[in-house]
Amino acid sequence: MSQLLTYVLLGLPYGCIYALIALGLVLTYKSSRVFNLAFGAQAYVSAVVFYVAVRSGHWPIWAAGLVSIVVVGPLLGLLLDRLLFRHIRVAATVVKLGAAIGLLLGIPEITQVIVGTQPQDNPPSLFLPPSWVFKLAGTRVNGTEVSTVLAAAIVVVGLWVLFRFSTLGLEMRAVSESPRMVELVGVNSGEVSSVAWMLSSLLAGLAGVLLAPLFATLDSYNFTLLLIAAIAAAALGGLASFPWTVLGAVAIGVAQEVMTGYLPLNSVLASGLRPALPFVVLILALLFHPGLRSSQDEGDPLASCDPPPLRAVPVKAHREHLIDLSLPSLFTPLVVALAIGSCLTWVPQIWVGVITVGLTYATILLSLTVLTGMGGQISLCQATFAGIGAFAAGQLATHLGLGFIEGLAIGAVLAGVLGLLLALPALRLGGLALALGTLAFALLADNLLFPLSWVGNGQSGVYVPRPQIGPISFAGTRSFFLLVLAVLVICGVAIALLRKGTTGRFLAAMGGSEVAAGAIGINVHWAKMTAFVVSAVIAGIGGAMYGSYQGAVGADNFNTLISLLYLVLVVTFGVKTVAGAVNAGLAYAVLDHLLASAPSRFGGLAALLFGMGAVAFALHPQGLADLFTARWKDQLDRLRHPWHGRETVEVS
Amino acid sequence: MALLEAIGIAKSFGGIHALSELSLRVEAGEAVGLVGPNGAGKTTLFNCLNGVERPDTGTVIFAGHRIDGLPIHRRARLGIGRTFQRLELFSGLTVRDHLLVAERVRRGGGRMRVWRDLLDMGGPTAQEQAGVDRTLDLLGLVPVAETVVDALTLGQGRLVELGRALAGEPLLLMLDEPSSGLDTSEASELAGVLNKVRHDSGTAILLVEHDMDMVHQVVSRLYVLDLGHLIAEGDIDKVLADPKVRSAYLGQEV
Ligand SMILES: Nc1ncnc2c1ncn2[C@@H]1O[C@H](COP(=O)(O)OP(=O)(O)OP(=O)(O)O)[C@@H](O)[C@H]1O
Ligand SMILES: [Mg+2]
Repeated sequence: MSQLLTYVLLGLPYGCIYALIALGLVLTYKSSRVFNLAFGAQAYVSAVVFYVAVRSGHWPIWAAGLVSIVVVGPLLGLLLDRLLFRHIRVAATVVKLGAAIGLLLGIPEITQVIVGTQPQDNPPSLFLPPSWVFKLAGTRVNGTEVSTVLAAAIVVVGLWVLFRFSTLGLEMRAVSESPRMVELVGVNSGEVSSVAWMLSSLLAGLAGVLLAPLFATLDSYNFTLLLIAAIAAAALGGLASFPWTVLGAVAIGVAQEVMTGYLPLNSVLASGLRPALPFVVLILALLFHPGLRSSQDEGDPLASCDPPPLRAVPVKAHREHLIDLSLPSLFTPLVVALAIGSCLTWVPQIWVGVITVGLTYATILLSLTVLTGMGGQISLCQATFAGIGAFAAGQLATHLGLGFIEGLAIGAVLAGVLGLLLALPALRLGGLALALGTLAFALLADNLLFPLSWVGNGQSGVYVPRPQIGPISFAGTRSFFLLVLAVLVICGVAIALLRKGTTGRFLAAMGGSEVAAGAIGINVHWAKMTAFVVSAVIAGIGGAMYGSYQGAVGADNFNTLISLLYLVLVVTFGVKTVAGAVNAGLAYAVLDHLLASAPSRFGGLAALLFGMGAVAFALHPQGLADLFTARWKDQLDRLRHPWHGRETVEVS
Repeated sequence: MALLEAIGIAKSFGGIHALSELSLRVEAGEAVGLVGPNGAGKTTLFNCLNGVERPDTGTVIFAGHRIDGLPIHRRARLGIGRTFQRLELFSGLTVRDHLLVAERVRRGGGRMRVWRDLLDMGGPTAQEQAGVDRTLDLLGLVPVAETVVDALTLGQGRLVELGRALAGEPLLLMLDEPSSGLDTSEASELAGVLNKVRHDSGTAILLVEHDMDMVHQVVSRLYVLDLGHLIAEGDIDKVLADPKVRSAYLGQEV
């Protein structure tokens, strides 16, 4: 009994921190319909500021705490709201998620560019130091734990009072229902949502600073992982209920520690299941919480009373990406042929290698073209499918002596099977819920599947051979380039054919409206399963080609962050077109290669740039090039006709 | 035998009884109206009939099949077409694409055929294009045929939904407030189109509508719903003269 109590007490601080982050998530989701996946990154920023102020600046703890939590946190939230999130409230879910993931990847990188990459060991604690220990019910409790629980309790009570008894709280609750309705009674809903953002970012900052001493060193990945536990708690509360969110968070934190205590030591269960618990809870909550299952964004109940919004609505075929490299002149058959010919002859081997990697990325990204571009389903686990393909090809070659091509085929099938397994529960999910479910699935695979010696073999990795077809070997750089290109072309042509045919039309219909697709007789479940399987197969093929290029791959080549990066890449370059995937793959490979030689603090700059690309796309879906030409024309018109143009609203 | 026969449909959301023990029938080729104040349960009834929602109790028989256990797409393929009160368009697709999708479903079945798409081109056939052109023409959508639906007005969007449902050549067409977003002349034009469709193809119509002029132009029989209960049914003029109906729904205006 007292042993159980020990574990409960150990889990409580974690639970409280999950609760703080989860409350912030729910707060911003309710007030601006954005699921802020960058929340962990925001917590990280405050933790770093606190660390630097105390350790390098030798500030007193209270000043550092004040600046990092009360100034930096809300300021960051205010900036994000003003510059980004309030403008994309009604954007497509994939765009909102792309922007949030862009921030998730980008914010830690910016932080590292500013403060450098030297490890931040032994983070200081805000209130009581960990060395301060006392006994509670026979259990040793240290100061950090006590202060964490106290701070969280104060915040939760404070929030409850704010929401229950203040006008501001009432307004926030109202804005979450309908900003338009609130504006009609004369409240500035923009300001209310800013307050919600600042408040939630303050919570993120507090959580970050409180959390830091529980780790040996500051690492943004830890914060992102904790975010998942918070997301699970928020899902238990249906992304809406504050009390259930807090209860769920504390329960998850406590359950994790209790599991650690009672599961046999050094077993796969203990090492894999404890970190995986939040992901499992998240998946279950998504599947069984009545309010979440069909979380197609409801939007504003007053929306249908409005005239169509005055935004630039694409009238004809429209552009769906930020950077349009597929200028006709760039991609004429002649130019492509020249480029391929050059790669086969005079281009230095190292650059042929870079382009080859780019083409394997492109193949993997094509899987998102099918699933997200054509079917409107958001997946955050494409790297998992790619990993299955690569590991299968490698393991089958190593252990059964199969050739690469056979391994690739089996790997693709296995990925497809996994895609089907994932699709079955996913049939019940849509929109944001599906994205979160696939995210949890990817993290589950990271923790339980990839470390297994017969799958990804953990950090040691798996050896993947170069292909040999009959007498022809593709071991050379240039011949392998040709094979990768052929595979990409086959996948690309297959997708183009699907898009033109019944499959493409039905998927587009399903992506537009699942109810309406069903109501005209489309079997939506079948369509979704097909999309998942085709997508997983393509990702598996691409992953195997990537593995074969690298020669050896491990769990780190296909972890969840890579999945997130994939989504950001295709959102930036165009999720609807084959050209978008090819451009994204090539651009990422080239940039990554160029930055590899830069100083280490700039090492993650590629992720940062593409993250910002996704954010920019969210703000200007018509594409940056169009935006600039429009501005320029506008200026020109004003010079010509200085007397009007001020009041006119541009609708293109 | 009636084309559609719903018996004892009940549906509640938490504590709200949206529909209580409601029965309704539509004969083949008949036009029936369904009216009632906001929140009466009209949309919920539509959802239970076409499979968006599953009723708590009740039986639905359509064209001789018991359909209340069937998924939405199976009911559609038996011949139930509908439009939505809150537009459910395939955003990103053009008006023509909407109709092409529906044509392809009718001709090819509701399943996708990955292998056939990979082998032949699977693009729109001449027959499909001809069918689409007919529907566009019927609804006056020819000028916006190549427009992406996100750029349409609410009224045009309703017409696209109607066209999409018509392209499936349904036996029963369920329309949820088709005239909201249209002006008076457009509404009466729409009434004309509905009468023409019913006359030419024998499609039965179940119409939910607040615009009583339009109801008069289209239907001959009327059901009146209030708070999930059926309060009157029968010949339209008789029903509208019923004092119970007038107090529950029409208020002072008639
Ligand atoms: N998904 C749902 N969850 C909870 N309550 C619902 C749901 N759908 C409908 N309701 C409730 O059921 C009742 C009937 O709603 P319904 O939309 O069917 O009415 P209606 O007759 O179509 O009204 P209107 O004329 O406004 O369209 C209402 O009280 C509504 O709030
Ligand atoms: Mg309704």
